Amino acid sequence: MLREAFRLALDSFRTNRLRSALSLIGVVIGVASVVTVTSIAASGTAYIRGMYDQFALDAIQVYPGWDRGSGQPGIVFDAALVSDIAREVPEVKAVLPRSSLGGELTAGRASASAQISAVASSYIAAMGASIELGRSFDTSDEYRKRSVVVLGSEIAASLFPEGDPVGKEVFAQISGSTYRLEVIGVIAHKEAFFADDWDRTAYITYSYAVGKIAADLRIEILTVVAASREATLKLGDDLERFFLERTGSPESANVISPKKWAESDMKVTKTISLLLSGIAAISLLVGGIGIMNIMLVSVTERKREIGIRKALGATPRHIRAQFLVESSVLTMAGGIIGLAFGSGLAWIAVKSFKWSFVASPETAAVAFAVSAATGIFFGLYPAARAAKLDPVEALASE
Amino acid sequence: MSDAIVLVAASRHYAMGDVVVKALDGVSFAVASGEKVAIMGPSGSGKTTCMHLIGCLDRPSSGRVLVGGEDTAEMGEAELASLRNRTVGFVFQQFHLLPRLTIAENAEVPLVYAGVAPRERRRRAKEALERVGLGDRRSHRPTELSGGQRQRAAIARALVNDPAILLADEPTGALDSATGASILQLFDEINRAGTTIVVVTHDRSIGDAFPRVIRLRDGRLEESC
Repeated sequence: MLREAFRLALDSFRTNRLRSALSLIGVVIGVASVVTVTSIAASGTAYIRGMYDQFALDAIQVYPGWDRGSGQPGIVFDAALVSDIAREVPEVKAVLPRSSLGGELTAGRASASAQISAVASSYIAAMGASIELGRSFDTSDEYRKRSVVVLGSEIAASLFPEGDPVGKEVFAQISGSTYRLEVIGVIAHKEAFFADDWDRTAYITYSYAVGKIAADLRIEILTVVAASREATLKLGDDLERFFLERTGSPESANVISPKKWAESDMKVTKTISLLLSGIAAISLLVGGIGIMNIMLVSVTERKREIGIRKALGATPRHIRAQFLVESSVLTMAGGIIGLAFGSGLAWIAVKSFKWSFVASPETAAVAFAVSAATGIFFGLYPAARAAKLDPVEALASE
Repeated sequence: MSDAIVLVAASRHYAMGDVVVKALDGVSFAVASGEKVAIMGPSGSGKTTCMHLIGCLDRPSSGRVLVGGEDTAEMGEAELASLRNRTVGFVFQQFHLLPRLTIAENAEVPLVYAGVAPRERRRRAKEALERVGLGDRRSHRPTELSGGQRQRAAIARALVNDPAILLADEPTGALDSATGASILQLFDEINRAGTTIVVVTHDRSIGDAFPRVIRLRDGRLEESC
């Protein structure tokens, strides 16, 4: 029965090609919008996931804000603050200080100006960076304030063009003094994110920097590591509350989580999605009404056919099914065209955001579901009209 | 022999504004299984309404109509459609073939609604068309056939589900007399094979050729023989 109805539907489009095509435009635009929205959302989600994976989701960074009135830092980051955060904020695994020192590095005849960052021993791993050669810091490096350095990949390449720098020495010139450092490792290439320009930074331990270079070194950024990935979301809020309670000002400290970072990017997408959803809703409504109209015309034109079918034993249900299949096949054809258009549009949009395009089977499923639903919903009334026709009256019509 | 059709004081009234038109007004008769009957009368006599009741396209306003032993008065639309599908084969004056289908496909339509599987449908449609002498025209569309051939195709369609009753409305009205005669001859053959035939007509020559004629006038039975 359904197969018959399907065949009849295709047959009826063949005879009314132009009319069918015109009545589809609304549905095509509607489905295209839906597809665009879902594709962009899928690509955006993939993008955010990528961000999470790339920049350790469980690490949140905090840096001091500026008090607008006095022009002074809103809060001073010191050892006391570090231990207070560790003690008072729940689900904190570690609080890692970080400071920057500008300087010049030399190794043999090669030299490079570099950012020199003083970090806690576990900082590199906590931020999701991986070691390409040698090793990262361990706690004894920190405890013993060893003069060791871990190099970013670009710095390593420019100081040691012949290769493996592990075990070799470099000299760092910082504020007029020279420090001899042993290279213990090289960090694998990693995109710059927030404070860390990974490839162009040399890392030393925080304890070495305070103990041997500058006793009054100020903490620039604190990296707070959550006890678990799940706890990270709440940790961001808890940290904001901690600083608000301590200083009474929401601007005393800035709490940056990768999620927040990624989300600010997503805001643009959300606006576009909202706009397109509006267009989708309106065009599906208009398209649906167009379908209803064309189906009503079709019912009127085919009154006699309906009468004949009824005389041959078609129940109201058979007739209803025939017209419902016809309207949903019609809109599903629109769905396929819309899927093609929408995917193209989404591809262009996603490329312009510099994300990678994600073709999701969900999107195709959504396009089909939406178009079939439109056909069924707006086909219901015409189909019911056809099913209700009095066979005697229908047979008598011209 | 059991009765294929029984009408007991069957009436069909239409409300036209304030006026009630009594298209059929207390008509009673029975047609035995295997009979060949003509229902005749001038236009407005109620013979078309009578055909609608017998064909289960309509229900009586009062009285009873039994088709194949089943009372149609209390039936819902779907039940009526199913009874129609199983029991009655229609032949119309204007053939009423579906123009976009081949005649084989046309002949399959009642079987589609009867829920017969496609392969069986094709077999039975072929058989029915062969029976009316159109075995070699199966893939033609109605417009490619002559009037007589179209009416034969319609008869094949009416017979395909093996109904107890073949109900024809002015079956020769759109045909020349020679072709009409051949259609009547076909009816004869079908009747001899056991199918009850009821023809609604105002054509006297059909009436003369039929063993029994039910005459209607102003919605009432004129005489019955």
